[in-house]
Amino acid sequence: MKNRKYQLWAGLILAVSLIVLPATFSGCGTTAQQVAYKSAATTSVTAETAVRAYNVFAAQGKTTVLQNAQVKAAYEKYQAAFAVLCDAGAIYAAGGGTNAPAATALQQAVLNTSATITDVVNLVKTFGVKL
Amino acid sequence: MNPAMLALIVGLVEQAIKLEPTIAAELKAIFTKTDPTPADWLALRTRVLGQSFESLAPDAPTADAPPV
Repeated sequence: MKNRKYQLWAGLILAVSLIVLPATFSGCGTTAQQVAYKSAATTSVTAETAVRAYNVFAAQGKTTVLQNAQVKAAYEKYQAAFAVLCDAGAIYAAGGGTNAPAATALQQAVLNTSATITDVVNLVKTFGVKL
Repeated sequence: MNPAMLALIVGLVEQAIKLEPTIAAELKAIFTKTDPTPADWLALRTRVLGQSFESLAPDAPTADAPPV
């Protein structure tokens, strides 16, 4: 029961954070840091779960080498975007959340990472994986 | 990001927590953190880059994978 409550709580925060994140950068810097960090950490779990689900599908012999390579490429693109996001987050955090250009860079990195994770999930789904 | 994708992400997080109970503890630690430091971001970066496609999907060989 407690675990279920936590799952719902975490999911709700994720959904809210992804929706409001772009708007928060123009306001309080501290809040933006926390939201960006929590969103990033949670979405990383999402990407990894999608690839793990794909692996279950692959273990059943339902994928081709070409499909595997496509998922790998999409996942590595996500990883690259995530690395940029973390670098931008570190720079923003180092500035105490008051550096406007760093905030803009972080916001853009969040959007880029969001796009790549969407690509990973959609690609896996097009191959028939149930998520 | 559209609502359907958000719902999917929430579902994936729930699935991850069910499959890997340690993830719940990791997320709890992250969600109780106040201001992330540069070290926190770098730790997150290291964790994600350490999860290669091959480690997450060992049963999905690619053309460039070394022969077993």
